[in-house]
Amino acid sequence: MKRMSWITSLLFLSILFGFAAAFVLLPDKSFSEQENRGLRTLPSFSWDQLMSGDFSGAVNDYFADQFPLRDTLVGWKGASEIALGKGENDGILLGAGGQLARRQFEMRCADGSTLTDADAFDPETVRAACAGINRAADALPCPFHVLLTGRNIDVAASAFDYPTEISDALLDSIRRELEPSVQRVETVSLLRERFRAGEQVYYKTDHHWTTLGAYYAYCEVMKAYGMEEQILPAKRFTRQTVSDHFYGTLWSAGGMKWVQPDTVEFWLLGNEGDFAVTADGKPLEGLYTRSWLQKKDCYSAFLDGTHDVVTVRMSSGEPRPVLLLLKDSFANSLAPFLAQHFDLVLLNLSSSRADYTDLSAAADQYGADRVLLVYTLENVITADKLSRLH
Amino acid sequence: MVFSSLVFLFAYLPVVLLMYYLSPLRWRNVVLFAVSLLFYGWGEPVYILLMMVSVTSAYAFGFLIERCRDREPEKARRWMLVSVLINLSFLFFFKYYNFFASILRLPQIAGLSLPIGISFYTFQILSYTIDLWRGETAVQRNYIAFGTYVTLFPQLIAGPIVRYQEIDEQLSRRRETIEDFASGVRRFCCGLGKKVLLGDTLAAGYAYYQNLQLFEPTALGAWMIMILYTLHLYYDFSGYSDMAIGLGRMFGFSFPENFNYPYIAKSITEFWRRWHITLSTWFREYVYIPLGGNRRGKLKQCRNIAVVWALTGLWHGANWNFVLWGLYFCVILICEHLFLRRWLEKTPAVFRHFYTMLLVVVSFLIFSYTDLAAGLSCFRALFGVGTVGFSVPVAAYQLLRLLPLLAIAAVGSTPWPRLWFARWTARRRPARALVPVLSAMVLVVCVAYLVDSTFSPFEYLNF
Repeated sequence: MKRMSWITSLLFLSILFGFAAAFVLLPDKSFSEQENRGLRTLPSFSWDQLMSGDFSGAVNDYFADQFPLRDTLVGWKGASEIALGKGENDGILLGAGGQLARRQFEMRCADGSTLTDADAFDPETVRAACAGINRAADALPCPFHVLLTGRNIDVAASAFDYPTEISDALLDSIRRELEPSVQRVETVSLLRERFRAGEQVYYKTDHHWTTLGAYYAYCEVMKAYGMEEQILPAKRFTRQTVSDHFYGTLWSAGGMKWVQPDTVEFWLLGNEGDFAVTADGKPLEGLYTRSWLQKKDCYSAFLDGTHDVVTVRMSSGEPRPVLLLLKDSFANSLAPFLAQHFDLVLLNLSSSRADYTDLSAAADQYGADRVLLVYTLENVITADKLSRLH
Repeated sequence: MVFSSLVFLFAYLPVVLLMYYLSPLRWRNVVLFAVSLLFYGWGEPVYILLMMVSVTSAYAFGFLIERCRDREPEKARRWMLVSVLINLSFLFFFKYYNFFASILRLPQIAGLSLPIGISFYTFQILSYTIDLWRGETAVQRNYIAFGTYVTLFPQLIAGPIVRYQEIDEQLSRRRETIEDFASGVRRFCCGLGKKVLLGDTLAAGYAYYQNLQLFEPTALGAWMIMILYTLHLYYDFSGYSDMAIGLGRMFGFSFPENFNYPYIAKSITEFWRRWHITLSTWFREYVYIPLGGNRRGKLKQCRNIAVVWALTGLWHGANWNFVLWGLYFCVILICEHLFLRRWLEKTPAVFRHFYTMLLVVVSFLIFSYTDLAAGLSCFRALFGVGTVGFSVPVAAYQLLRLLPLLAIAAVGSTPWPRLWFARWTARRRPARALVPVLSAMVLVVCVAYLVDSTFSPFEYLNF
């Protein structure tokens, strides 16, 4: 009995002191590759902070972020949640074939507050977003199309036994709230069908569409523009697999470390060298920035990730109609297809630095012949940018 | 600081264990007193001051009470009342002033926040003063020992409420043994698992249904809210008590038990002998029995039950729902006492169990909604009033996904798993070697959950 007591106590103490020693001895990291986010470091001490209780909160966060074996432990938690039959971890569902999808969003309520543990949406937020789109459509002098991209949960629905009622209700309410005069490019149900048919139109581990999904969207945009006969057929492209180790945002957030990575494709025509691409005023190497492929966030290889203003023109200077894309990151992999037909100006609607909600002014400034809104449903229910459009 | 935080587990606890066991015997209380104050002040340092005033005043009045106790009982009584009133006035001011001010239409005090654990440690201090006055314990001359009793970090902020006479001896003479330490480790790991793996995950399910009800209220959602909350509260609070008792043992203390499988009770009277035992005991010892208990006729006894339950309700919070909650139990307990228990005894055990759990679940509905209107609408939703239907697809989906967790939580709230394990290891002695490994595994899995979550506060810290 005594021996067992010693074993129990020593095992307990060695875990306590082992982690404590490792925590002290191991150097702090400032960034987590796996989670793709900055890690919190030791907060600086101040009496004011101590007295208000903020200091202890900051130290708690610091401990969680810098904890030894953090990535492994997070994986264990994910595994145990799945083993419990929950089918998800931290709001990320695990579906057939390792398909991931976020079901719980930081939902924005009409009064500006947010709700984290819900997979509903606030109808008022959607109404306000649609009202913004309607206003912008009225004010714009040139053709304006709206392409609201689906979330994994909308498109990859057949990989999960999760009900589609919320997806469908969201799409319905958008359909209802947008004026009939607003021209919509519908992709969600098309891609949902494609996914069900076995085509990988969205990444498994990332919230974006794949290049194949983007190609389908491109075809729909061209049809909406009445340029159906100019659509470049899929077989004209050389499909180059540029990465087979893409661990996307859902993989980072879901803590299910055993899920296999995605592959990333570039669809090339051979004329990619003919484009001059600038981002926030500086030239890029082209439509693709290949150095991103060596990092975790491979999707950023498309148009070099997040920038406020990106322009694509012919290096020869040959003028073409200007298409203004008011967009979030989904447009980055769509743009290489559209660049074959238009000079592009991409404005990042999600930017925290710049405000592009005055769409008419932007269209005017860049001499746009057409305007296309490419924005994901996730941002419709979590952000307020659309409601401020005019 | 809370036990289920990485800072506690991997910074505070190792340092405290080292300091404690490296100190010579007579310094150990000093160490405990000092680190307990640090534990308390970690979130809100200002209230250390309040705590010191409480401790010092009760300590000083202790001498006055003792000096007069034998020769001038009236004077001793007066000193006892002064000491009790001083400590109660702190509790009243911080916890109840704004509530009563709103009733009496007096000006409110903005930004008055509740010092953590004030309801718990005030009751401990009162037990010392009253025990001393009654002559059931001797005066504590050692300030450090008394301070250690009140501030002892394992039970400081959420109980168990240790009565002074239960721990008097241990304050000055206790022996730390390896058997006690190991039993403390097992108890602590068990409590941590209950809190982190079950309590917190049940709370997440609860929060999910709460949010769903905002947009699509259903009867199923309302029932899930109540069931998840009922299980969550048990695991949250009894897990905390287990951790407290376990930590106490690691330092050589033996605290009273606080829970005894409350959800297997077959009447509300029995439920309250199994739930938050140290609080019920406190009220019995210091309110119910002094009022005459059950010795002065049925009418007086009903009055005494009513007083105890009005106070128990208010103890849990300065809000009407807690008053209502106390009243609810008061009525049930009086009914059970007068006639219901005799009727129930004639019914099958299954029915008695169902009756008890139904009343408990409804009581927690009153308990969990500080907004009475919201509580009422949840209550009505239980019966389908004001809902969009019995269920919606996501509500049913979530129920299926939570079923294994619910089953584990339900079985875990009964004595069976413990019995099974004991029977199993009795036959296979080598299987006992599993116990240290299981404790360590639970600890590590809990750490994994803590690393991945930002915060897991305790429900009962707010009381």
